[in-house]
Amino acid sequence: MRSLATAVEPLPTTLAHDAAVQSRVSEQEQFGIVSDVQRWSIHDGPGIRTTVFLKGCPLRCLWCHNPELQRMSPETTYDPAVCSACGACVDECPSDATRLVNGRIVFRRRLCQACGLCVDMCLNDARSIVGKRTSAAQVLDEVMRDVPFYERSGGGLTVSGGEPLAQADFAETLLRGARQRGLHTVLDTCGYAGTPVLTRVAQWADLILYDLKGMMPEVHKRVTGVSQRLILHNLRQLLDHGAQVWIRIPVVRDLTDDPENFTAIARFLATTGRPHRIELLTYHEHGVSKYGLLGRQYSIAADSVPAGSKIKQAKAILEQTGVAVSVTA
Amino acid sequence: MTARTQKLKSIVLNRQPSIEADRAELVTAVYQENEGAPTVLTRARALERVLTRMPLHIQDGELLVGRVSAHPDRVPVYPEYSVRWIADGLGRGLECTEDLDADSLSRLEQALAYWDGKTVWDFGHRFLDSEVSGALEAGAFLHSSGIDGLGRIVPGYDQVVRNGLNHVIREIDARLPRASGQDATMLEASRTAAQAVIAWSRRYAGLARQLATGETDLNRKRELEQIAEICDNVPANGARTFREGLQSVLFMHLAVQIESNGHGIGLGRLDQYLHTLFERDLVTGAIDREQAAELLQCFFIKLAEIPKLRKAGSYRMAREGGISGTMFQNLTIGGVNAAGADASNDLSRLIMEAMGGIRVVQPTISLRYSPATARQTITAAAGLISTGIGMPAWFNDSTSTHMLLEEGVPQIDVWNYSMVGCIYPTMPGQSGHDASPGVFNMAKCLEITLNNGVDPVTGNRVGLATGMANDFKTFDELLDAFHRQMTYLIGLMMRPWPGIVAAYRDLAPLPLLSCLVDDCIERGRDVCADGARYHACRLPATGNANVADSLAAIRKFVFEQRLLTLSQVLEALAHDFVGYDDVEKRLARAPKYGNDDAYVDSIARETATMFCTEVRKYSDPFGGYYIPVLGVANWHWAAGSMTGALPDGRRKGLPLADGGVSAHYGRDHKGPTSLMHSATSLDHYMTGGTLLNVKFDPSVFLEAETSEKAVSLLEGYFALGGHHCQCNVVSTAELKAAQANPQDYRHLIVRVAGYSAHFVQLSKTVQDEIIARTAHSVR
Repeated sequence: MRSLATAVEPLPTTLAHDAAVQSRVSEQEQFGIVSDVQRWSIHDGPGIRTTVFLKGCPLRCLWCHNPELQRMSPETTYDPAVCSACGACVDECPSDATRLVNGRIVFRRRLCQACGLCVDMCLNDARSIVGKRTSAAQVLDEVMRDVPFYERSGGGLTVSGGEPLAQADFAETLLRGARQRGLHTVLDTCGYAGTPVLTRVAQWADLILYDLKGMMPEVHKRVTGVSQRLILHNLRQLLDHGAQVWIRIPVVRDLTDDPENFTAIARFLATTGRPHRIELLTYHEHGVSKYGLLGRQYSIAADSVPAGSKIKQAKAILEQTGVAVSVTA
Repeated sequence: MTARTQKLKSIVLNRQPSIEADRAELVTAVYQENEGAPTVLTRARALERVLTRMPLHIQDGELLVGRVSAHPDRVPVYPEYSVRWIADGLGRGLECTEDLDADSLSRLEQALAYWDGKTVWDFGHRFLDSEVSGALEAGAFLHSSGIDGLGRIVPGYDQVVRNGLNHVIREIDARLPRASGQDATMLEASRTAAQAVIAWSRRYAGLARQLATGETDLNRKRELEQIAEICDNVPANGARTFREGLQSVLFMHLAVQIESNGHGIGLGRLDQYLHTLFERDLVTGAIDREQAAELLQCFFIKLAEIPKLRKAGSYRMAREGGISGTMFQNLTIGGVNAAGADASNDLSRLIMEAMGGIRVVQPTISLRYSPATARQTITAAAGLISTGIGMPAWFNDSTSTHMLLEEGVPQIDVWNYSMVGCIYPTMPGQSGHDASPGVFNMAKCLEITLNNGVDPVTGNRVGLATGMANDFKTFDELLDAFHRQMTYLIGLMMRPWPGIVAAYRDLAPLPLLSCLVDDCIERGRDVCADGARYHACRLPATGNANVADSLAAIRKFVFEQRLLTLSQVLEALAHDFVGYDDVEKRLARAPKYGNDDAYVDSIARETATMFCTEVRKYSDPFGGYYIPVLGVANWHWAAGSMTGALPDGRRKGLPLADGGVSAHYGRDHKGPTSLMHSATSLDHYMTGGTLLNVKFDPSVFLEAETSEKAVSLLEGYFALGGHHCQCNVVSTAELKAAQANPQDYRHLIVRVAGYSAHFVQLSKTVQDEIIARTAHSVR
């Protein structure tokens, strides 16, 4: 039986630490906007992984293949091609965002609150909601389902997006929670965030997948919407502090496939700590159709797949850094 | 593949099978001469007659000899089991009779005429009363009631390889003085059978010698002389070389299948019992690794060559399902030794390499996986999977072992188990036949429940009146009605079976096979009469995923959200959803099994447990318990073709969910780890085997890194308690191209269920089902 005296003794240091952890927002109370928890993810880090996609990104890369993850708030996708204009969605909509006009559905996105009532009513799967407010505990519960698969393959949790640092507290809670549960953790980031924010989240990641679009200032600004300065600064911080980093470079015809771009990257990496791997991600068209579903325009040539010779050249240039370079379609 | 094996393979692939009269004629004559003699003696004499009189043939280039008929394209007939369908179908639509010559036709007709009313089927059929027949016609369950021999057994070939058949004969002789009556007769019969096999092998030796004399090619002459030497020695005596070992196994394996046409005769742990010979030959330099691979390929071709005449009605869609050329000959590799350490070896890996080189659909290679299995064996297995032929199938040692312990196999023996049929662990040379009453159709059971005992497809009352669908107030009432219906229908299914098993016992004992199964000789009892040390009578079910998906849809939309009424659902089903698009689409949106969704997985677990518990209530004809199985070879098509539209959104006549614990094709969209969680939400330990199909896009196996991840996936499944997994590695685009241009894709092999088959030989329904299975890709 415990005496009253022991109960009032000062907490041992480990418990004090736990108490400090608990003083943060708990996993049950930390919410984020999650678009997908994708299991059997085998191209986002080592082993079999579960990738959690967070919504919201400060960049607007022209080729973005996940445009539904750019905005932070939940969105409704609508596919007129499979819509039968039955009107079931119209009656349900509390915001008057959907109307049946002359036998056609008119969807006014600006009024849509992404409540999802129309999605439940639509029997044609013409609608879906991207982004759901979810607690970190809920996400981690699902992530933990696949522990038997992580254990055998060296996999774990990858937090991706969008840009996970756009929901830094949530991303941190996920990575920390996974780390505390003994999982291997990966942060997939474009690096565009305040350095303290990045380092705070990155401390919980065993590996960082770091996107690098290019070195040329005008081009970078034009194709991503932001300057590369902060991105390069953060990358240098991580590499110089010995973080495990895989650099991932999207190769898009005419936008990022200039050999000079890769020469500049190689030169930059010669002045920093070494990344563990460089992955060239060749452009694919899988994202093109999503723009229509979001009522947006795709602004670059549909066929932006880089020439094979360009990829080879880029690989050769980057291999001069002495880092292993892989190419992924 | 060498020039030799390439040529031998193409002969088998391009043959035009046609039935032959020899076996039927010889067997019939013996029966006529021996009327009144003990059946078991007649059986032994019949086998002896066939083996001493059947025409023999050695194909040019063959290194291993023997076959069940005189020629690769001749299919023998087994009138002891059933004849009416053969007699009726001769030259009139029965497969393999299209080009039958007039002489064979009349000889066959004459032989078959003797058998009407005397076969196993005739005897067993008497036990099918009107209730059983009604349910059978409706497709509530399917069984063959004595159409062909019992199968799914692994004979103890290892004993013959080691000691020779003469040793068995000596054992019989030693046992005989203590025997009397029936036991003595049985032992006499077994000795006759064993001696007949030796005589048969010596005939091959004679033929080889004769061919050698006339052979002008000196290399071939030498090969034929070697064949003669080998056939003089095995299977009479223990094998002295790896090649003799293979020839010994082959002779026994073929002779067992000349005695009876039951399929699913397994080869057991070939990599274990031939390993000593293999290793010794490599060390002494008698053969090198390439020659050993060529011998294995020759062996595989001989197994792929074994034909079987099948009744379309009993094995519905057998032909379309690619089963015509499939004898379910399981060859097991890997696993552990008696000390629990890894047993996989260089021969295990060479077997996989040789199969990767020759790519034939038989034998079915099964890998026993344990955490101790060597990495290089696992890498070799991943390499064979990546060729796309669906082999090896992976089996979890820990789950298999548990199943066998549950079946009564003692701990001390269980390490040596082997796979048989598609997915069953069994004890090689110790377990008896799988006398299975057939396959239970759970989806039809639900259909009958929803219609108050009436089968909506035939309109006949076949089940209990468990209540009108509209009267169910709660989901649990419906589930309870389903349970009662299942109890009743399983009872019907079991009802005739003891009689049918008795027919096998009394009319078709197997004196040769009894030589190869412990403790038949010791007990003086035939393997069909409870002579085997262990029993395993299994009862598989198909359609559990469809039942779970259907019940989940009803629970959600009828009882919870009340968006539909049960009568609306039934009306839509009665019209196969034509004109009821909204109902169909609504039902399709319910949670589906295969996505790690507890809402539906919990129902799947409940219905599967219901089935397993029901089946376990029955004693098998040998005093053991019936073992429920969640996995079927191709019966999900047969059962599906007889089942109407279902509340899970599946249309009438389409195949049910494939495998046994797989999701309904195309409904699993959350990746294979989620599928595997759903699959292991069911209790594999309650069963005697489960079957999971996983289809991968070839991209997964393009790089070593992702290919290793696929292996980790299978290992993770086993850590969760999964029993079996088999993989297709083929792109949807390639399957569609093969469907459109079959002539260009004759080589394409896919995993169907517990076996592989040539894709272009499958019917369109079956091809479509395989195309519709979810292809897991890199993401």
